[in-house]
Parts: sequence; structure tokens; C-alpha cells
Amino acid sequence: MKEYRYFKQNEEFEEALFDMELTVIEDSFKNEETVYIVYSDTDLTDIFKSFGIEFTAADINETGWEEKWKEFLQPGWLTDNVFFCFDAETPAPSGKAVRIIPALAFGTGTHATTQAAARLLESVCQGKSVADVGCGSAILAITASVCGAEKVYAFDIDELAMGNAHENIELNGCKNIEAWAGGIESLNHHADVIVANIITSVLKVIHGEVIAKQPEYIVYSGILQEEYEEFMSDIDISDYAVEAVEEVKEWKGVRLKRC
Amino acid sequence: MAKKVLGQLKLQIPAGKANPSPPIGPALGQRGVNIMEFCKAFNAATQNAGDYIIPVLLTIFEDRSFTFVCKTPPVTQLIKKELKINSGSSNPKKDKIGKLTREQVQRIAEHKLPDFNTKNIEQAMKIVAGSARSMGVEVEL
Repeated sequence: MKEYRYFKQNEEFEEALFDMELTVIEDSFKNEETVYIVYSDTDLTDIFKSFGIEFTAADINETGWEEKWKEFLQPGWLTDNVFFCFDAETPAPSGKAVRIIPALAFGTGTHATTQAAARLLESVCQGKSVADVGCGSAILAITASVCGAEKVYAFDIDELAMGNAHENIELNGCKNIEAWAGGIESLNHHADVIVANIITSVLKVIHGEVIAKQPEYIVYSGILQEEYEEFMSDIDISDYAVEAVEEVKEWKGVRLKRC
Repeated sequence: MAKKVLGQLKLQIPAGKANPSPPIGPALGQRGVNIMEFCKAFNAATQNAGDYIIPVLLTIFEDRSFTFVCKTPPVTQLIKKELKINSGSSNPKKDKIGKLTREQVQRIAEHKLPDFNTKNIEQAMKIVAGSARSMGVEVEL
């Protein structure tokens, strides 16, 4: 795949690209000329030429995009007690640390939804079995393990994410985490605690299977504050009561306890 | 203190379907934005927006944190969807490719209203009708 850059906006050209299912990105940064970027597997040289547009092209792997964003990640606190960082060496100020190799799997620790879920999870893990549904980087599974869970199951339908999850589980030395690629239907074990930090449209779909497992606690995160009320009235929580909520930025997480 | 703005990216992304592959990953990654965090936030914000392509304005701050605003889909896309066609007429003056009823124009105008300069629905409908005609679509107003 190639990255094409050009400097003069051209709506007809953009429409021609749109018909090829390609969209143009406008990139305007301080002290830099505004640039228009398009990514394509097929060679766009001829179409650029037919519109008389000057451009530059580069192999996408030479742009460094997969590494560049990692430079700006800052370690911090996932909860009041659990620190997150991105290597094996950084000392944990509290003794409890979650170490994540940043990748294209969700969950580096910096996001509000991860922090809300971790805060709701940490106090109910001790001695329990925990399942992390849609685990991404496995950050919540590792948090559960670090906070005293006896057994942890971590899975995600995204196989690329699972590659990163396995790396992170190993980096943290969590021998009690079992991880595999799959959805909620692939969980064949009982779990005392089920945690899912996804988005509400997905949480609604998996909710039936989550309650069918009859966990003692359910932790849901990835809920925008504005959709919280609707989400809670849409899902069947008749056997559960809201035990705690966490609000971080525009997001909300909830912990349910079986009655 | 307000955070310093570093720059902006304008993208067009299918509602609820942001993922780290190109174009999103490379465009954001090179600017230091946490790719997966943006994908999650965008997908949460647009999960109920149907199968439109959503224009997004992403503002990036000095610490590489970001905010974004989702716009309504381009009016041409709404017209195409309403008429269930894939592209406009290659000769809009001569070859007409469909006809929008007043109700359809109104529906599109209501959808676009947040992004139009006018808040008057009749005015908005005129703008939609103009776009439709320039694509070779007849309009019943």
C-alpha cells in the first residue's frame, strides 16, 4: 500500500477517488503547509496525472506510523493503587503495576474507559475467577491478576489483538491467565466476575450470554455518559443491582452485583 | 489553562467502523495520536448513525490528546442513499437519474440541518434541491 500526498484541494479529484472507495484526509498543522493524503493499494499515478495534480508517493511502511504514536504515551495510574507503564523496567510506585507493550490492540491504560473498568474491577477480584470479554491488550485481565484474582480468562474476536495480549500476559508474568481468540460463546468456564470494556451496541448484544453465565459481578465500561440511562433500561438486569459506577471524562462504567 | 492546539485532521469514516488499518492508522499514527483510543471513541459516538460515511474533524493538542466533532454525511451521499443509486449523472443537464419527493428532500434537509448555516427548514430544502439538480436528480418541491 502507498501513501500519496498532494497540496492543492480538488473536489472533482476527491469525488473520483470516492467512487473508487478512497477518502482523502486533510492534514493541517501549525507551521506546516496543509496536505491532502490518500492511501491506496492500486497505483494512483495515472489518475493524479489526468487531473494534473502534483503529488508525492511513499511506501506506507516507510512512514513510521506504527511507532510514532507510541513516543507520546505517558505512564500513569490506572486506579489509585495500580500503575501502568510500557516496559519491564519502570518501578511501580505502589508495588502493583500493569505493563503494556503498545500495539494496535485497545488498552494502553491511558483511556478513560480502561480506567473506569479497572477501578470497578480491582476491589472485587481477590480470590475470584474473572473473565475479560473483548480483552484487547489484556490490560484488564492483567489488572485482575495483579489485584489477586485466582484465575483469569481473556479473549477477543480480534486475532491481532490476541497477539499483543499474549505478549503482555507474558511480560507481566501472569501465569494464571488463560487467553484465546474468540467471543463470549467460547467461554466454557464459570467466572465469578465478567468484565467487558467495549461499546454499548456490542455490550447489548453480549449481555444475554453474560447473564446466562450467572456471574456474581458484571463490570461494563465503554458507555458514553449520555447513553447510560438508555443502555441500563435496554438490558435485562432483573437479577442484578447496580453496586458502583465510575465516571471518567465523558465515559461511564458500572458494576452490577447479583442479588 | 487551555491546551495548545497542534493541528487538525479531517477524515471520512464509515459510522461505527473505525479500525487501525489505513487510512486511519497511518494518518493518526504519524501525528502521534493513540489510534485505538480514537477508534473506540469514534465508534461509540457513531454506533447508531446507520451505514453512512461520517466526516470527522479531529483536533490534536500538544500532548497528543485529541477531541473530535462528527459532521452529518455529505448531502450527495444522503441523496444517493434516498434514491438507492451509486453515483450521480455524468451529464446532469440531460440525463436525469431519479426524482426526489418533497418528503425525501425534507428528510435529507432535516438530517443536514445541524451543519447548514440556516436553521430554516425551507431554506435547507432549497440547498438540498440545488445539490440534487446538480447531480441530475429531479426534485418535486
